[in-house]
Amino acid sequence: MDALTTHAPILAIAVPLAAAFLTPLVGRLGAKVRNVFVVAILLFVEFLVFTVVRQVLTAGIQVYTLGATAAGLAIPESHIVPVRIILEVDGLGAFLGIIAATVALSGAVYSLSAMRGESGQDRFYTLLLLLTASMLGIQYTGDLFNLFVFLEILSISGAALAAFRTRFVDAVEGGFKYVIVSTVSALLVLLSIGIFYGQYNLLNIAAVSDAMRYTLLDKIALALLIGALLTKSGAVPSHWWVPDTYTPAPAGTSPIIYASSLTCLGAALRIVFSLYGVKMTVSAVGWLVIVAGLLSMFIGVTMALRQTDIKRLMTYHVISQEGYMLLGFGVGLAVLGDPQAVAAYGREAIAGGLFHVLNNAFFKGLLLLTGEALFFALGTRDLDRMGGMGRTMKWTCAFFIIGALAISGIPPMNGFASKLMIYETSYQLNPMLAIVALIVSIMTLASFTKVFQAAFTGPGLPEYRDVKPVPLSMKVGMGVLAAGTLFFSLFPQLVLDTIVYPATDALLNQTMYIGVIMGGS
Amino acid sequence: MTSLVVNAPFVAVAALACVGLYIMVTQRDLIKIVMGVTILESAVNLFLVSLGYRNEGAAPGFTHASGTHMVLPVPQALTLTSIVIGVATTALMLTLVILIYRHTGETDAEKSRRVKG
Amino acid sequence: MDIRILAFWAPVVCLIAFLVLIAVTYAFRSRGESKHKQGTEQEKVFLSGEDMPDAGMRHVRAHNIYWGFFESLKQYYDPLIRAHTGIVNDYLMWLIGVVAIAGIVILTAGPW
Repeated sequence: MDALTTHAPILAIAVPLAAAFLTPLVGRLGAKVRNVFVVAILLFVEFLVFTVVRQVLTAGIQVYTLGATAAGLAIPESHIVPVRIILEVDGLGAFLGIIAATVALSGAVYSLSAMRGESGQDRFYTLLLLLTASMLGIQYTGDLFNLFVFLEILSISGAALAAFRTRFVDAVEGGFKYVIVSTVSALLVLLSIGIFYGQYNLLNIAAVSDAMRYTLLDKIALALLIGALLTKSGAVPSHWWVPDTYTPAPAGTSPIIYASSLTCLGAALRIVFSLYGVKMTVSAVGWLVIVAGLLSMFIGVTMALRQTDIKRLMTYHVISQEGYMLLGFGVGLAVLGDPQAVAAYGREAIAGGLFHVLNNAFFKGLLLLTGEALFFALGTRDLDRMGGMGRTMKWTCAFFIIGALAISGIPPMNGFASKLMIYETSYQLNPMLAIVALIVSIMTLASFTKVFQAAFTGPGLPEYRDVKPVPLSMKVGMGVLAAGTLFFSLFPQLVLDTIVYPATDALLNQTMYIGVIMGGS
Repeated sequence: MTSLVVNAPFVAVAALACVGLYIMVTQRDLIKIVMGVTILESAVNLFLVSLGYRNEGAAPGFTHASGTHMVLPVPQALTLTSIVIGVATTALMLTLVILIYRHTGETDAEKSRRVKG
Repeated sequence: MDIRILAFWAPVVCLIAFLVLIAVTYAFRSRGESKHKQGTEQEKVFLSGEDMPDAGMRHVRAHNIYWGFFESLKQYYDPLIRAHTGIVNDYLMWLIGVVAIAGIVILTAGPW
């Protein structure tokens, strides 16, 4: 048990990775065996992630060195820098790990019946497990090149999953656009890693952060990293690939691909707060992030109002909610150099952004799954052709209402709690930010009212008389996310104190992040 | 003059990257876009290898060598990883291009798109 | 800022208020007419005396909703919709554009 606790970070990455390649072999024994295997592996990963969270909350930052017992050991002994790949799990990594594991589990359970009848399901579950492994890899790693490798794995498996139903032309197109944009972004990330290695001869994030001098080359690397990682997370003005990729993604993979975009946002946070921190010009970068957030919020929701494809509408809301998160993080970043402002509202802003990340993974994932449930039951994604499904698909309707209230920020839902934190703190930096955020919230409610009216209310249409409600495993998949949403709604302070504030403090405490590897070794 | 010779690989990196980016942004044929991505990949790989070079260095094939000045081995490892990842992504990109061609009969980015807005 | 301080937004308080409202609403509703004649005009949809069209024609379709909003914001929407071309080259152009803008902002910023 002790060994499991010490090795939990690497097991959380290695187990789904190994299981991904074992899935085709297990699939030879039959579909049911493979399904049980996949769900069992994801439950084990969930258990490992919670072990890691408990360790981080009680014992501080967890450092796991691959190939040695301590971070300072190296071969040959003349080297004194950390040369090994080191996993460094702090509050942020633990926090994002919960999101990755839970969303992957509920998505896989949902896919058990949603993918029934599709061919090549072995490969589907392989890709799903690979995506989970890559998300946990990015969240737990403390090494830049390791981050790049897992980023590429995330892109490849995400694109292959998006394009999985190759009989639909928009699926193949979405996968192609995703892989092109992701590969170019990852190449820009690799270029900046090369810049860091060329200057400092180091790849470990804490070590580079310690040695960082913020030269001209470091500024270029920062610009490349911000541009590439904000594109990967889907911020405007580089959001174009998001609707094309998320809309045709099959079954339960839409929330998982969304969690992978949130992971890329987490990687951007790691770069900006832990790698650069106060050494860069925080107000410039902070305002850059704030402007990206405002544009994402507004353009995301105004485009969403126009859509008639249900999943495309929800995907524009993905972009819009990412805007809220970027606003929160940008406000916290812009005042990073001023300790008074950080204590007054900076820390709250970052906590609000992180809480919104957690809430979004749950309620936005739930909404994407309800969209897919409607597609599964009716065979169409076009809102113009739907109507009156509230009577037949009762559970889907209930989950949709929970998700729609949460995303619009209606009290007492969790969306309201995190949005309130973002409104309060961004108001103190500049009142216009909060006003734009409020207007966007109203328009979000408007667009979900539109979906509710078009799909669930209204008279029962004759062409949908024989539609049956969705199968049980889909309800369970949606139910897990809905239960999470309701839990966070009822106990926001508990969630904030337990996982969100430690993650915030981990981001703000760059000295401890460096000191655990450089000082103690 | 020596500074130009020393910096020649980095000038080549910049030139390759510009060529790759130009192709990706202006050429409409899907396979040409994939070629542009591959050229950008080569540029980044060349950058990684050239930043490891040390003047009069030997190949990094020794352990515990004394008195032998070697080029940096780590960027070479990074480049190998990057080349392998590049192979995987290029294979995926070309597969998707073929699937788009089978569906739409076009390899033009503008004519083969079915989704917009 | 502690969410506990804003007690009237606290979720449990909101839920209790909601349940109280549901109880009051139910009390009002139960005082109404409980019986109606089945199968007569009382059951049909009332459209000011017009005939009830069939279900497909009655349901307001999604593309009609918020038409006024879109018409009045036509100046904002038209360039935006045109910008969403769906061509991969434009996606990459914007990616390079974002990197360039970030580069300019970061390189020209002073040490604040």
